[in-house]
Amino acid sequence: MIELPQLGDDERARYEWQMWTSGHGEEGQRKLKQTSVLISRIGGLGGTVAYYLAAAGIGRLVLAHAGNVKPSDLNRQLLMTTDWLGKARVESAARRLQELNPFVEIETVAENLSNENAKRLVGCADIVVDAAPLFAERFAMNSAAFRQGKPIIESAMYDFDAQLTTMIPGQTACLACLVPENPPQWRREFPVFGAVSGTIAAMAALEVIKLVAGFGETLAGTMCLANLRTMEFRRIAIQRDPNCRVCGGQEPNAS
Amino acid sequence: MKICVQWLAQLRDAAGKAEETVEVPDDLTLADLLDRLACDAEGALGELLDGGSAGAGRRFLLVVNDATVGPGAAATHILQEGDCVALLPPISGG
Repeated sequence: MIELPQLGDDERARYEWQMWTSGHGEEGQRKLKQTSVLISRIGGLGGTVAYYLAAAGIGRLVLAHAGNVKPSDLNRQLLMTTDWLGKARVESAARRLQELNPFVEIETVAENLSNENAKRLVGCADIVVDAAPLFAERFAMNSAAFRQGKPIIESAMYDFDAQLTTMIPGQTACLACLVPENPPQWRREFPVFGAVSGTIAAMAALEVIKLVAGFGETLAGTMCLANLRTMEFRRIAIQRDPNCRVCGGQEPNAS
Repeated sequence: MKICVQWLAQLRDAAGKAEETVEVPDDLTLADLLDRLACDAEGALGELLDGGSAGAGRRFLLVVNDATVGPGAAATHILQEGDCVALLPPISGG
């Protein structure tokens, strides 16, 4: 069994208040320090997940997002700043995250997830967070993660609607069970307030923290649906598709 | 029997309402309901529901009460009086 990394005095001081959390403590904090998380796109959703995971003391973040900061990013992408317009998003994010917490190791990849790089990028992390806007990227990550047995936090929003679930290979449905085909009506640009993507991002970060530290209850096997226009939240059970092209709905421990 | 149909995300915008109650024959399957809804819908909602159970039924998450029903199971899932059927477009982004 791999021994958990130790915390230094500066880290204990930094995480003191969250180590008071029931079920977490110093052991949970050391588990967070041991964990690496890949985040696919660091926009309003993924960037805020990264920010909360950095604040919480995750050991290593791998940030994948192509392109440069645009003015239209700044209403929600809290890791981007006005003085960084026209420069690489991942570098802006790394700078902001290191300012917040220099104990977190940051790896930047100025690419979006694709069938070409998904295997390699998913292989860099223990857990993956999907915050990408395009289904092609999400399907590539889903396939790679299920093949490698890596849990995925699936987070998405549109306007004031949000969806969040945790998918665990061998235990729960995968993305392809729920969305068998690339939705033809989906548009890459969508209406969004930063506070909406930020709300679901904070919940996604909590899914990672609970999954790693082992306390509380995650959304595994269920999906949280939120309508933030009316403040209605519901949780539904999600079923595996026995004919799923990716996970085949296999039972846990199936050969 | 009466069934509650809930429209979520983009479907809510296209329907212009969050939910409605529909009167349907007893023993209707979920696939039959999708076909009826697609047949009755007009305008933007009609476009989104195009193809009924064979089209929209594969593009949207189908939720009956508090659990999803896979697209392959819609043809055999018999609805009950008072069921609440939600159609949830896959959303993506942030």
